Amino acid sequence: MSYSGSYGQQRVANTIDLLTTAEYVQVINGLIDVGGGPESNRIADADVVGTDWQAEVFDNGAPIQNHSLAFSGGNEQTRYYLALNAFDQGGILRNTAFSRYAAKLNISSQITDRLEVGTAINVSYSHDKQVPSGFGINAQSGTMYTALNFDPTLPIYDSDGNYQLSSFLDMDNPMSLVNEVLAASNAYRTFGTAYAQYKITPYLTAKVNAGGDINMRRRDVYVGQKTRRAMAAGGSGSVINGMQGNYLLEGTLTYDRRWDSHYLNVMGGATTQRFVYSSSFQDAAGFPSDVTGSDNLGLGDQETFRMGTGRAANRLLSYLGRVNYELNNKYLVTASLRADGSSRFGINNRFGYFPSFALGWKLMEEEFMQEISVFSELKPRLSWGQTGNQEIGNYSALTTFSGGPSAILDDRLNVGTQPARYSNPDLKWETTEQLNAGLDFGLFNGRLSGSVDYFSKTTFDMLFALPIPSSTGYSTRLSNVGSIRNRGWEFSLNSNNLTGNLKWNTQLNLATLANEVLNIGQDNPIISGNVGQTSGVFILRPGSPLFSFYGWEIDGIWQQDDDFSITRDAVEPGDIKYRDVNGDGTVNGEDRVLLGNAFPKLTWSVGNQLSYKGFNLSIFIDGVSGVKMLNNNLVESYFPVSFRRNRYAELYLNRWTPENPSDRYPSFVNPGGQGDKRVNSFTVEDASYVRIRNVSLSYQFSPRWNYLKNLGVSLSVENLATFTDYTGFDPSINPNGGAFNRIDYNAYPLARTWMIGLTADF
Amino acid sequence: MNINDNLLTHRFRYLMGMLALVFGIVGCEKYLDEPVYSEMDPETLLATEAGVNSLLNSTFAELFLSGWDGKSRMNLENWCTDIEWETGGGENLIATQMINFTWDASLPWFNNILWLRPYRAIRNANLLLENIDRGEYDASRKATYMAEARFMRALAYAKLYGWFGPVPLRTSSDDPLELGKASDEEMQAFIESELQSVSAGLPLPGEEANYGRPNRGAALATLCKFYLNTKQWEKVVTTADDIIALDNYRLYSEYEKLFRVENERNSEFILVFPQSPQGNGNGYINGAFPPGFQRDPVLGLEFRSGWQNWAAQYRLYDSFYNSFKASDERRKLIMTGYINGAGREISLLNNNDTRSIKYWPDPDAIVNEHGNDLPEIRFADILLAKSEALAELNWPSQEAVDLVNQVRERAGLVGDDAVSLADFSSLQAFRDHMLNERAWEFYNEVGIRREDLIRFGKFVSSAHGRGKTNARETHVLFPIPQAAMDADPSLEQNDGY
Repeated sequence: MSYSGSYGQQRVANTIDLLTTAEYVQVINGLIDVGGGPESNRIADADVVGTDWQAEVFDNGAPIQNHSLAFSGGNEQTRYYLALNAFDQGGILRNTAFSRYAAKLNISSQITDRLEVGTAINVSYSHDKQVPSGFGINAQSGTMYTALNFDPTLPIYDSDGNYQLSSFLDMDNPMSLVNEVLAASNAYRTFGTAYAQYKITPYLTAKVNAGGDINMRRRDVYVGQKTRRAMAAGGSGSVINGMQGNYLLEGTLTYDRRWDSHYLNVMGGATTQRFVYSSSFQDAAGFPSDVTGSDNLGLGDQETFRMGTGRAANRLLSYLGRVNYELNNKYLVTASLRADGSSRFGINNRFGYFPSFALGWKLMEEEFMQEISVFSELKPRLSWGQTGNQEIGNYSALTTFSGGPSAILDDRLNVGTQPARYSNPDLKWETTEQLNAGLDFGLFNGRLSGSVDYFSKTTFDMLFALPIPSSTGYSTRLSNVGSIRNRGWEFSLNSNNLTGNLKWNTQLNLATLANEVLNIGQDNPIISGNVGQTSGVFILRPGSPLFSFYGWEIDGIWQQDDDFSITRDAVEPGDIKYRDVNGDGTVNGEDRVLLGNAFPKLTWSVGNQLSYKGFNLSIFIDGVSGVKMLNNNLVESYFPVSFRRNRYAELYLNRWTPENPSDRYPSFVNPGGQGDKRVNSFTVEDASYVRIRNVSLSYQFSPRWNYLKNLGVSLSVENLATFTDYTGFDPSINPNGGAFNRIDYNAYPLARTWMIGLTADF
Repeated sequence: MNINDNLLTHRFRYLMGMLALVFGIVGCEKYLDEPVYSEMDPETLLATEAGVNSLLNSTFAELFLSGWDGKSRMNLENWCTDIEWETGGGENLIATQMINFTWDASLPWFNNILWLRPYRAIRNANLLLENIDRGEYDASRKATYMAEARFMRALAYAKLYGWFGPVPLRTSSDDPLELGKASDEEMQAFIESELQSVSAGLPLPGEEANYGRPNRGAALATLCKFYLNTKQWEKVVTTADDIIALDNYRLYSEYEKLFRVENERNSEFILVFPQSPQGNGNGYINGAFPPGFQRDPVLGLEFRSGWQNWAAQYRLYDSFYNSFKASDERRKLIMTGYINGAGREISLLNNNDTRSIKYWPDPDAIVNEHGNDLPEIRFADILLAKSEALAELNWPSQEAVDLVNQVRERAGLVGDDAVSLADFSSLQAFRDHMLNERAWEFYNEVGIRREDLIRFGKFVSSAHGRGKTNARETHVLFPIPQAAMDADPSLEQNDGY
């Protein structure tokens, strides 16, 4: 039996440096003085106390704990393993929390010499408590957005005890979202597999494996009547129930034999997996009281009731074969072929065929290497292979009708239907072809070991929503077009620097990545990416990396003695000086340039472990460089949606004035005067960073008691420090989803966590 | 154990055999046919009357712009005129381009709202017409559905023609994927003949199955406005007379209350784009409220909690406000001052900052959505269209002046405030008055001012008069959206873009 547990506290690693209440009063009134804001927005009471909204919404001391208990045992025939885990985390954003309770049971039994059966079953329950978040703006904005934008001169509550609203701002009080919106998910997951394995002959084994994974989730949201957004509606509630699951059946036959100088392993098999999804939702508004939340939606106003259901499924069927062969334990060859079928593709293209080959050479086994004692391992490798991707919607190859917009007839909504898509019956698998060359090495009897790899990965027949003539009523059609290529080097090194009583081990990893779009199936570039009020963030065109930021280069700030005759645009001293790339005297869409991308030029990490007797100190540092991200919260400081929002302090305290002719920050007198050129070289920031990700000190006791075999204690800190020029909460985040379409907007801040831990084996 | 072993071996072999069989069966392609649960096969759906109605519903919903798209379409058309402009909010990015005549083909609303939505309505109408014969039900209702679909398609093309000029004329799902623009003659002939043809097949006003569905009045009014904007004066007169002869439409007595949600079903609105707080409503008022608006004692309007007051500020030019006669009741829907949340009295005058409160806020609004229907064509528009056409055909025309007075009378402009033939020294003087009269009558309504300025040849010159020196003749038409151009090499961009 073993136990491991930890307890800790989390704090916000860093907040965004916004204007304080006093600075805000000075900046707002100062801008109005120079005509940069409407007189009606002036703040009369210069000594107002106000609120630091970030300080209110964050919980600096949110607990986190994790406890695991494991039992294992059995006899010669049957082994079992049982693990129980409880995890509980309070959020650094108030009123958010996550907890999970899980149990896992593995049993395997050798029923006869030839037959083994086993099962692994996992059950878990998780509870996720949230506050409004996401990319919504203004009246739909989430907690982070309001905390960054809400007027810092206002108190939390007004004199009547209601949440203070601003007549200038179209958004909720941040604390009303924290306290009055109840959003929680409860998820129940069961997944398990059972297998039987039978040795038909000493060399031939058959195996069947059956499994299932069912995830049931209920999400409840209740927006209370004290919030601005649900005040008029009398509170609004919704319940969404969803089920997501899949089941799997696979059978394999393996021949495995070593004879003389040969080793042969041949595997053939078939597998099928079906994925099912279903959901239902109910919403209602207009409740007599907030007390019942989303737990009695029937109490709402019947006219507001809405409901819906959905169901979808897809399945995969694959046949696979693989041969491994080794000669003299020196020469290694692997070849495989998969035939993958997916229900998502057109009737004639459901199967894709994906071969792969790999070669390896254990050089140290060769006679002629025996004399070179510096190497302990040397293994060049070469591989080539193809894999398929079918991650598209479920019915993209079919012509169907689904729910369309509803008509307003007799002042009521009348449900409509219309074509779900412009279907493509010829859809087929997207293929990625990867070539990899590498070398594993060991030096000085393994004191130093590592590997170096080069890869080139080309994806073609990409599943892509290709624009089609929109006079058809459809704007895109999912098609197999275009290709992209990723290339890079990966390097890892493991060094045992000291091996005596004091041990010191270092691991180093480096990776480079270069992406290039080779072909997009059409001549015109495709500009995409929207967030908040920002649109056209990325450009897709051959020759440039995927999701390249596309916008305006800024050369500085217009100064009083600049030559204004070179521009036809209405610019004043103190305005941003965008680069007129084509020199036509005006800055417009034609002057946009590439502003970098989110493919890191270098990703690296360094880990160090020092141990002496029972003590162990480990320090893990990582970083990326050469990576960009659009900071859309910074965009809103440059281009405020309305005047009385809070802003980044640095920009406004150092803004251009005739007395302070900054070349870095504009005057903000007329931020939208040149159009909102939101994607620019100021707002697309360098998101490179170096982070002390984890520092941990532990001590392992050597207990003398019989019933306690092992005892360890530890103290650790996550995210101790981050070094970056990036001005958002966290340069490593991407709330936009996807790895490389990076837009930071209303992101959840990074937590710094101090933890103590205990491990014991009984 | 041995016996057991044999038994298990036997069972296991049996299992393996079954497995082989399973994979053998599933090996055929049919195994990968996954049923569709929440979507429908179009052929089955459209064989039923309810299915046809559901497709019609989406056709109405795509073209009868409402909600965010509804107010945005209205703003797009009005920001480039001499009545409205805008500051603040996220949409200011769009607004500055429209106000300053610096828009280009990449402006997203041209594509999302003015192009994609009518073309989705056209697609739906074509699908309906192609599949209507699948079902067996009452032939007269079937004929009405066909007339409705054809009307929606013709209205979509009339709107597209007004915004972009000639566009691809798709009348069948089998038209080639790449389809260039129709000629001006083809466009006009299609719109005219379809509207003429369907007006006979549509129900009389009030006899349509639901309020909000097209009727004969709507088709005739669309045709009348099409003739007006293409200056086919005689046809304007005869079509206007057809509408008057329906003897269904009247001017509503109180202009001030005409646009209120409780009065939206009235005898004056001929074609409306319905709005509802339950779904997509009229959102204009959210931008019309001035900053921190609490109440306006002059209008008698008090802000209710739950209403929204957007960061975007929808403003009117002072030159427009000042052009009204003080006795003109239509001016009363313009807010000139208010009291804010802090109790301060704030004037909106002399700062191009008066606000249109035409779409008087809906007490039952839900968040941004107010129920006030957007009138697309009112009876007043038909009367003034007839007046304008009569004057163009045969000046001087007492009947033309009488029609103007009919509209002015409802605005309280009677006696000395009425106009007479003697007030107009020439046809040009009457035209100048007509352009103003239409501004006073139709300000802040969908697209009317833009069309009027273009028809009177003042669209560009009035922009120059406001200091918008970028304005050129090119801007009379909007550019074909860049996304549409990029996806169809056979499309030609409008001149000057």
